[in-house]
Amino acid sequence: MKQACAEMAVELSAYFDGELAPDERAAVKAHLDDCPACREALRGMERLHDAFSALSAARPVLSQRKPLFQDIMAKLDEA
Amino acid sequence: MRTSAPRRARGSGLPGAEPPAAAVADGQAAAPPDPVAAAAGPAVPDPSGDGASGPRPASNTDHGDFELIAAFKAGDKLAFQALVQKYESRVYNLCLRMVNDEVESQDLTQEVFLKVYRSILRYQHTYSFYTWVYRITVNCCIDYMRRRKRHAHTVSLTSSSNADGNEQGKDQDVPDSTHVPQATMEKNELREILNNAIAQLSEKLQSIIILKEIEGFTYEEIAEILNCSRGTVKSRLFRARERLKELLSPYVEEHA
Repeated sequence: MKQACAEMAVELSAYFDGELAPDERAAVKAHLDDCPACREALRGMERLHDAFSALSAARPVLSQRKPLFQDIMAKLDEA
Repeated sequence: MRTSAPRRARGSGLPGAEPPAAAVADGQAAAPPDPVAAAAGPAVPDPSGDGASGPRPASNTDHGDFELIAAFKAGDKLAFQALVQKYESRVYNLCLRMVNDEVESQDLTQEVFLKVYRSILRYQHTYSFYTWVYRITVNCCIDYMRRRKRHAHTVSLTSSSNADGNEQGKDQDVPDSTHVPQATMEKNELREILNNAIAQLSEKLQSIIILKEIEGFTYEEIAEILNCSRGTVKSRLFRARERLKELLSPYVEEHA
């Protein structure tokens, strides 16, 4: 990894999340324009994010299950 | 040339908020079970340059919370019931994502609301109620995961002297793949691989990657929930992604 890439790594993660100020974002974008390795790293973050989305979509949600409220209130009454 | 655009901050990810920006389509089910490559699509088109400054969904989650809390403090128990009903699904889902166990997640959800009930009188409206509830949830889950790790370690030490092993236990780890369609198996395998990788992260890195990648919180919201600085959120998220990349790399290379 080039020195500039190493310095850019944390910023790249925040850039991916859309969490940089405009000047910081411009600096990352300028680096990306010249750096295939960082562009690939960014694509890797996108793929990881997509995998998380698949994981998230697969989970049952409470709305499909028995509401917990009654259990919670029963516990509170016991306490 | 094209570079991936920064994603918009997705806001609170709470009821009423928009869904994740890059949900995986069913059509990708037949992709190789590579946790990273399976969901790969073309690079996001040219950056719009609007990343963090893009419009965030209005955080209407807090709407009515203040009134409900005030009513509860004044003795109205039904107000607490309304708060539980409003947040129980979100709390349960976060628990489920963190501990990966439905029964334990239900118990943890109860534990969270018991803690909320017992400490709500001390709650100050300095930050959002949902942030406070999420903080309690994350802390309960981290405590549980630490207990589970300690217990697993104890069991491991105890069972290591058992030369017979536990064939039944081994069988439980192997999903029955009979009559399961190939695409479903690959999807399940993908989830299993990612789940295993997440489970190998430290509790702190697990919390932060789940709050970001699954719950869709902004850095500011995560900082509030975890009671840390925005800079800490930024660096921990980077470390979590690097660690996941490292953990998933053998599998990626194997299927390249």
